[in-house]
Amino acid sequence: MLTGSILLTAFLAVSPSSSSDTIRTERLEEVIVTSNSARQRVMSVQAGAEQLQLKELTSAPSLFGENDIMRAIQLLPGIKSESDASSSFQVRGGTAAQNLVLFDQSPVRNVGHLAGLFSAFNDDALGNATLYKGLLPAQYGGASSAVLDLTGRTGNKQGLHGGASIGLLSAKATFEGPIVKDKASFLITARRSYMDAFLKLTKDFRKNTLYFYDINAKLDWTIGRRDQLFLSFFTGRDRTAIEDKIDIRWRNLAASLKWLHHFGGDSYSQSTLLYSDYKTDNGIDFLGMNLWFDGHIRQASFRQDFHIALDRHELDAGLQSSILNVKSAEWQFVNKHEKEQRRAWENAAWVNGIFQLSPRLTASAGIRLSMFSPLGGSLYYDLEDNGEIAWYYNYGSNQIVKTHLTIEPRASLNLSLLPSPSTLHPQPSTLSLKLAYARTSQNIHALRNQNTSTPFDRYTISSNIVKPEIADQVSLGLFGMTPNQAYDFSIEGYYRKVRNVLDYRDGKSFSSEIEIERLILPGEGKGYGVEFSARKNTGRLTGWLAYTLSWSKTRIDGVNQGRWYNASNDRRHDISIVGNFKLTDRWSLNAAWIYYTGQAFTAPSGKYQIEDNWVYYYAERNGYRTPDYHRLDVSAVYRSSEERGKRKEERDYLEGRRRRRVKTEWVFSIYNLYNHYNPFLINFEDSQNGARTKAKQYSLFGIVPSVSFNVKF
Amino acid sequence: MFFRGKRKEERGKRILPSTPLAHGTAAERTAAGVISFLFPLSSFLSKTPFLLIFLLISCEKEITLDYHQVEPIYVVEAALSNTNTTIRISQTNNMDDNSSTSTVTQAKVTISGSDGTNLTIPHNRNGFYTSTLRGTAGIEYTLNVDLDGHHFTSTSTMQKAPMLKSFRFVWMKAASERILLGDLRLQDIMNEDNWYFLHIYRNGIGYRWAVMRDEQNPNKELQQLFTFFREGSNDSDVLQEGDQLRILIRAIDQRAYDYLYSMQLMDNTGTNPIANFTGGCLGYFSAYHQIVYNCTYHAADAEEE
Repeated sequence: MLTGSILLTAFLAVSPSSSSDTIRTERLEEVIVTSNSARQRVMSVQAGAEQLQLKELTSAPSLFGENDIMRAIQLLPGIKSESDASSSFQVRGGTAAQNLVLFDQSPVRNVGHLAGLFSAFNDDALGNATLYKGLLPAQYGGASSAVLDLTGRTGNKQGLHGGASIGLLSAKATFEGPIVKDKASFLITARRSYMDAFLKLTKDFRKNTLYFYDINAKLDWTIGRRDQLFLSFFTGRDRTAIEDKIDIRWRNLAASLKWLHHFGGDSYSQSTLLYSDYKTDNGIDFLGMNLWFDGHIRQASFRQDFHIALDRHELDAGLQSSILNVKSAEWQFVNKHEKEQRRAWENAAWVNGIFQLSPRLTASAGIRLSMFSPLGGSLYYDLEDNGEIAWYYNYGSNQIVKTHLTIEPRASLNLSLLPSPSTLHPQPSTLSLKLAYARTSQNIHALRNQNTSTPFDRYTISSNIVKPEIADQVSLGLFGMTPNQAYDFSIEGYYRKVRNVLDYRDGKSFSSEIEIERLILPGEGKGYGVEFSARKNTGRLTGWLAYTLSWSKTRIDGVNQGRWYNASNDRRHDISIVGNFKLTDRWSLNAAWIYYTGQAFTAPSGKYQIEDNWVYYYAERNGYRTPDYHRLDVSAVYRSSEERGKRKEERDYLEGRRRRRVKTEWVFSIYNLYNHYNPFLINFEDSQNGARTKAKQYSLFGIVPSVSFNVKF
Repeated sequence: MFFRGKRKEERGKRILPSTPLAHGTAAERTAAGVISFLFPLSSFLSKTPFLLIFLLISCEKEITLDYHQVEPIYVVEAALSNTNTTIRISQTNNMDDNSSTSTVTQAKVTISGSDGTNLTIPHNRNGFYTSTLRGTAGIEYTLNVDLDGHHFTSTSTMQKAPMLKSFRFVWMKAASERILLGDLRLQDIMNEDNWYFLHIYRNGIGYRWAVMRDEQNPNKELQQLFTFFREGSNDSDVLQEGDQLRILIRAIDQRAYDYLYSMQLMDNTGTNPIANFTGGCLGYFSAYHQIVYNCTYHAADAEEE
């Protein structure tokens, strides 16, 4: 939350001078966003970290006309989407389940609506976002791959503002303003899909349900000169039901209360209470068959952060203590009722320093201690080699079953190869060499049959059997920018090794056993690659080119004869080209082209007959590749004239008029312009006599045009 | 865009396992099962357990894969039932081999039982090794196959006779679709753990199969739903008036169940079934008690839900 705090600090610092001047506040906001771009990428000591420019990201063409931060992230170097249907992302060979997404410090799981077509986050609610590609400063933990740290936007303290937007499938509205002018503000934004309204109008579908909604609310209260309180709340829900026969529901809830205290200078402390609850609930009921299963991940935490700013150095230290409650699944079927639910106590303490060792050399070094203790109250067991239960342990409630201690060193070094800014050349060319290493660990493990996150994923925690997943990553990169940040580029290589990754035993699926540990085997993973990016940041044409060459592999005793195999997310080449052209004051055009090598998948290598059925023989895991993926998305945005609006607003301001400026925006977008059907699933079909095996590719989206309308005041 | 591809004729499609509704535990039924149940492409659907995604499938096309060539693997499928003993030994075919199953005739096959049974099963024809040996409930049988220096072994315990309670055709309506189901009910064998294999042949050709265990409702009625076809569909799965259905109901042991259940999941997991034999061959050995129910499909007999 360091970056978030810095930004908030910046806002706090400017607020006295901005008084009630909303125009100037907005302008300051824009300056801050710009100054965080190329300079941040090149100068920041933290390698593999990207402070996301939300404006730039959300201007990329979108599916169904909905600005979506998660899909925009997928366009960055080293980041891959899970699939066409997913808003989850994969970083440097990690899986989406190895990422941690924080919203105002509360974890949010399964970050998609409608099976991932939309991300869980309404972009109107977002203030700041930083993505760490596995090289985390010590303040962050709990993820063996990336951390996406999102900070909710706070409301305007000077005047009431709002906005509304209607897209092809959903609509949203935002309202913000002061509770006590210059002291306290609120922001509330809500989004809901409206397809179900049309379902109700049809004879065949009127008894079906298909919707999602999310609500973000944030209150902030400045108490005196040094203290500020933030209360943040987020919930998102999804429901798909076919009459009264099938019901699939899941929801996320994340809430936090934060007290920010400034000691003076740039030093501060942050005390946060947070709560997170992810829940799925699914059932069917027809023809006398009634069954239900549900699961959850609940977390309640206290977190304390200290940030000490010394002359040229900074120090962050803190601790976090959490109680976790994970129910992998609770199944009810006729007379049978099974559940696996476990609790754990998780503690972490960290210290991280940023030291300016010389004008050209900055170092960040830290250490994080992670302690994870599964608690008794439910059954634990030992397993035979074949996955059968050998022995049960019945620990008392709250009794510690085992404590996993992980010591996680973190380090990053930035050596400036060209002169730093001076008064004579405030924005010279800059070139930096960054070297970084981080060890991270994860104790909540997701198990999924496919690459795509779904509400049917099962989760387990580290236990007496399952060990923490531990990742070590090292990276080396060269980052440069031209004078005035007009262009910047980077080339970064990484190597990542992960211990205790989990995968299914052969022949097991997510429901083969209630005890999730009986389904899985531990192994190791590795990923390495090079990421290249080039950006143009100024002028009428802006955008970036990102290319990643990467490998991702897994090895598990008992799977693929114990040999290394390509991970499901292994893709050799990955290219995104994103462009934004400001045609006129009112019109801007955007385009994004995405290409990646087909991903690894398992195909049969032989066939035989059992019970008069043709059955496939699998000789290797992920030994084949799907066809390559590529598509072009374009959009055109028509805005009410910004320049004219601003001039009018300034004139009104100078003349003391308080007229509200209304901004409107039409977004016309086309997803997959040249209608290329990309692989989503490959299936095999045979004739009854086993001849003529056909591999069939199924695709999700062809060309999808959409339009959305936004209004802001 | 909705299910455009699915409506095509799929002549000669591989016989797929039936809806996984009665496999494993409840989650399977709710996720993959639910979807398979609604749309009778169970193998395909079970791969992506989310309904919405299927509604979004916009295109299907055949692609060319360069299949890797592998050494053939032996396959042993052995059945010791309440009527006879049949062992079929074959080898895997390469993916682009369109010939029929290869047969293996030179194996030495023996069966021994915990009751002292010890018998060599002779080769009959086309890779089938047969005998009139019948299983006795409660007896554990061991099958040994010696072949080209390989030694394959498996065991299976003979089960008691299963009991059919009812079978009917039912139309289920879901959204704008009507789907014909087979609703099969068994009376569970009392006071023991049981596992069942159900296989429906249509006009002598395999049509649907499923496995289930009695944990859902022990000692009482067990239910299995089969998805037959969607009304209005014109693919080869659609039952025609007068079609003869032959339903095999077997009480099997847990090892056979584990094998068949994991075979059911194969398309989803991309792995081979859990090995039933030691020695490295594919296939399984099952000692079972089987009953058979024959019926004829008349559209007028199908009940409304």
